[in-house]
Amino acid sequence: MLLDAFHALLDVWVLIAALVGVAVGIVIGAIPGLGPTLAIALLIPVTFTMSPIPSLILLLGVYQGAIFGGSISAILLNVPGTPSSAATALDGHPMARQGRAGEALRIALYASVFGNIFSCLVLIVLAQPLASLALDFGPAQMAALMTFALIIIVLFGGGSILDAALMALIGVAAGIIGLDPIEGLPRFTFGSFAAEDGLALIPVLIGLFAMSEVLLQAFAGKQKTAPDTDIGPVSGSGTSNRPVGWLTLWKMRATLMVSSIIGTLVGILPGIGSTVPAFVSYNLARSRSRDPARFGKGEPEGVAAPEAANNAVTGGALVPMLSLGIPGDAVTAVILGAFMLQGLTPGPFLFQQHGVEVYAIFEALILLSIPCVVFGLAMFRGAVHIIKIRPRHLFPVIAILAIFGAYSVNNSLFDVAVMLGAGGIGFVLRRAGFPLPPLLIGLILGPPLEQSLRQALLTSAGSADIFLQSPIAMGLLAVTLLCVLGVIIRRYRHTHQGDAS
Amino acid sequence: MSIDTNTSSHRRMPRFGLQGCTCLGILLVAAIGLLTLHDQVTVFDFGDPGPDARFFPRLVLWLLALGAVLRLWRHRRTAETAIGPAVSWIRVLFVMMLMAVALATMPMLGFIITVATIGIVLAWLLGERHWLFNVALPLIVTIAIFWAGRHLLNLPLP
Amino acid sequence: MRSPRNRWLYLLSTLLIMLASPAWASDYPARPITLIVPYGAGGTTDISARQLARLAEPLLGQPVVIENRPGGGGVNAMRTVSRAAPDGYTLIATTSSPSFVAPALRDTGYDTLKDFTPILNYPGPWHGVLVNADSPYHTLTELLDAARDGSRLTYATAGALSGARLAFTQLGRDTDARLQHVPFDGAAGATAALLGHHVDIALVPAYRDLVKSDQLRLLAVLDDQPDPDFPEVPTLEQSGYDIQFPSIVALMVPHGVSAKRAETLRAAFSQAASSPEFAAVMKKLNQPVRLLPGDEVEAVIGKNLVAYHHLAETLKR
Repeated sequence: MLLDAFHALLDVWVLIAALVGVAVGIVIGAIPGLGPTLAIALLIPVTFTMSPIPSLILLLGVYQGAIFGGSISAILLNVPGTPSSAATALDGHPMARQGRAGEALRIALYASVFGNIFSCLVLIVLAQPLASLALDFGPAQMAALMTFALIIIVLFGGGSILDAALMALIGVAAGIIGLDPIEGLPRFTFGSFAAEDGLALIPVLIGLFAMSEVLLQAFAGKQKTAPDTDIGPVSGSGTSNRPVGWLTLWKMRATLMVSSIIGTLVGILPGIGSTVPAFVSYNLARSRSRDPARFGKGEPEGVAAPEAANNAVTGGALVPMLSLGIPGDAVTAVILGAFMLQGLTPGPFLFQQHGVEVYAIFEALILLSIPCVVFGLAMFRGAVHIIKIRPRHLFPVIAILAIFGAYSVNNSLFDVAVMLGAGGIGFVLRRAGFPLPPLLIGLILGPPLEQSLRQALLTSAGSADIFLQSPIAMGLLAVTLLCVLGVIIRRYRHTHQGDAS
Repeated sequence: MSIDTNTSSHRRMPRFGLQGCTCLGILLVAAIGLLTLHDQVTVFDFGDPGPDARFFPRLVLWLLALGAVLRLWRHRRTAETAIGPAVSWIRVLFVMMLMAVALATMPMLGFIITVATIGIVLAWLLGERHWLFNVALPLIVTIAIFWAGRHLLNLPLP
Repeated sequence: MRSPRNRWLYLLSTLLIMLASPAWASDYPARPITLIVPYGAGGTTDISARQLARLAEPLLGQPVVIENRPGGGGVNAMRTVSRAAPDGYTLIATTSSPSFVAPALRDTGYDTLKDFTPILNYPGPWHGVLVNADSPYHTLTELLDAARDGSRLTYATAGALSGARLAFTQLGRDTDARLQHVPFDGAAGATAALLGHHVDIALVPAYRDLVKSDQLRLLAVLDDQPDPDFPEVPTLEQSGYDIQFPSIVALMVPHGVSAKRAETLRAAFSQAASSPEFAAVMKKLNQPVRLLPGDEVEAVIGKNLVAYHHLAETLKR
């Protein structure tokens, strides 16, 4: 079967589809606001006349390329191109500032490829059993998992836990605006119809990270342009970039593995997406590190962890989509439509009826790493020079892109207004030194957390026993509790040692 | 966020600075949220068990208010970031206002005029005086994005 | 993709000149028609609308441009179209939820019957009443009997404002069955919850393969006709309950479009929708074509709007 599938790939159209898909994906991903969903939806009509394997490889290439592409702008400009690359910016951009942009980009690329190959192998070997694991996660288990993720983000983000908790709560509170997930009635929309959709993630992301950067520059004014651009010898492939070889990756093997596993598992579960696993693996890598203080100041592992995780999500997300016909997010829902149009209806019969095509696509997903690396390395040569552009030339362009990106999500000017508001708030919070990642995660997890919690209580007739009867939910809640206790004990010891010395 | 520009006359690292202001702002938002909760959230009675649509917002807003108060109290003696010179704040507010006006007039004037204006003014504020980079660059970028959005991405830009 | 676009710009500019004289109204359509899809690009509504638009273009002699306006479960797009100029150049491909479910439950800013003229209905997917294959219930009656005699059964739907939820609320009231609604984000989540035994029933479309592979059991369909893939499974009405949730995808224009123009559109889109090419695409999407003319769509919407509105009134606290 695997060999037959490989034969099906030996076709010039497959190669062309892979190259075009990855290239389009990287470019789309690098532009803030534009994501794989839009690109794939636009390419679907193009694939009407193509045969199944090349057309699906084209679309999956876009998916993979876009997730990696987001990290390019995150590292070079501190403006994440996609939500999932926001975590990459935490260490990637400081590295770029130190003149190690090339190194950061290569680590991001190799970590992406690692996460991707890992999750595809999991997909090939374990698609069916993992799909049934996904089904074990009902509302109660999801609520426990999301509580766990939220606590990890607050506890292990570095800096003040109180500040992080405050930011996460702001995110959750912002998520309340819009239609209530259970009864479908407007909440805090103040009579505005446009607000019923709530604050969409991508406009908020662009506002918090891109527009606030523009406002910080405006705050600094023209006097402070010189020191920023001239930090260190900013040369693309210059001497300050340490070469990234197998040894570097081998040193990070534990981080890469843990992050890939987190990404794959979260990818299998519907509705969480790739941003949360990226931040969770970043925080875990930080808390496991011997020298956590270096995180946030240009630590290569801080780039590798989120990139491995968010790319591992792609393979994971395909597991329930292919074996059950249940898409986990907007991107996989669009890909599901593309599969159906090619006559490959995802679901229980897909593997029986179209085994060769499906395995060919799996193998292609792994082989897509090759154009990813080739394009990535080729683009880096040019891309690293972006960091040399003067702020007064760069930031007007970022502002223009931010407005365009926010508009493109829903074709609505309300989203641009949301982006602007988030930019103002992000500006104040960044100046005051509050951490923004918990806010973003709170906004992402708040609405589904409330929904799962209330769904669980609806199914159990209002009784909290539903959390105690499920081993998965119990386990997750116990681990969450242990984490909280662990941090409290460590803090306690720390202060006591501090008193003694 | 309500930022009092008068405090900018304080010396560096004041007792009460940007962090305190931010926490007060958060407290204010949470309080407004709690006060308007009843009007802003309608509840239908399908006879569902468990918490209703008002439960979760109430919980989160109370926690938010509590967190803000806790932070204000814990950091009451720590030095905070100075609010900064009024000129800088005026510049930021000007940029925000400009974008808001551009946004409001975009359906009438179109994407290119409004967004290119933002880019040009921003470049000028950041100290660019050469006509090529000040005027031409934002204009060209805007037109390029407009074209790509309309024709490649099928977006109905105004 | 480029040449119609250029033509479009050209036509727009000529239109500006022609606007001065009223003579241009005689030959309709004289410029491209915009078909608004109230959901994101790439969904089934979007794919089928794009296909229909492509097939209708040669019949109308003008390009039909698809514009995606997602958000608010389709309500935002409906509101935009209800306020568009009634010149026959703006259409919407709307579904059940924004046309008669959401307006019955809350203020949406438009009235489907007064503000729109339906042109044509082409298929929506069938919604089924599904239980797990290992569940003890083999018919809808068994299920309702069990729910009346003490067991509290939970049912999952695609969302808080889904018509399936209202249909089942009504069913529960009519039969005194204890049915508890649990809304999910989309039909996929509801199906997954049923497969994982987190709920007892799911009211979802796209169930064919899961039923045929013996993972789920189909007890009834919510539509007014049986699903051709499962002709032996009854509708709710055939099971003896006067309730239906017709899943529609209707093409509508804002109210006030002249009868002649509406007829032009109806003729072109009906012909496109009954073409074998369209049927082939819809078959792949699992939605066999069943056409309804505009006045019948209006009747369906009107009937359900009144019924759901009545139901919603009794539920408001």
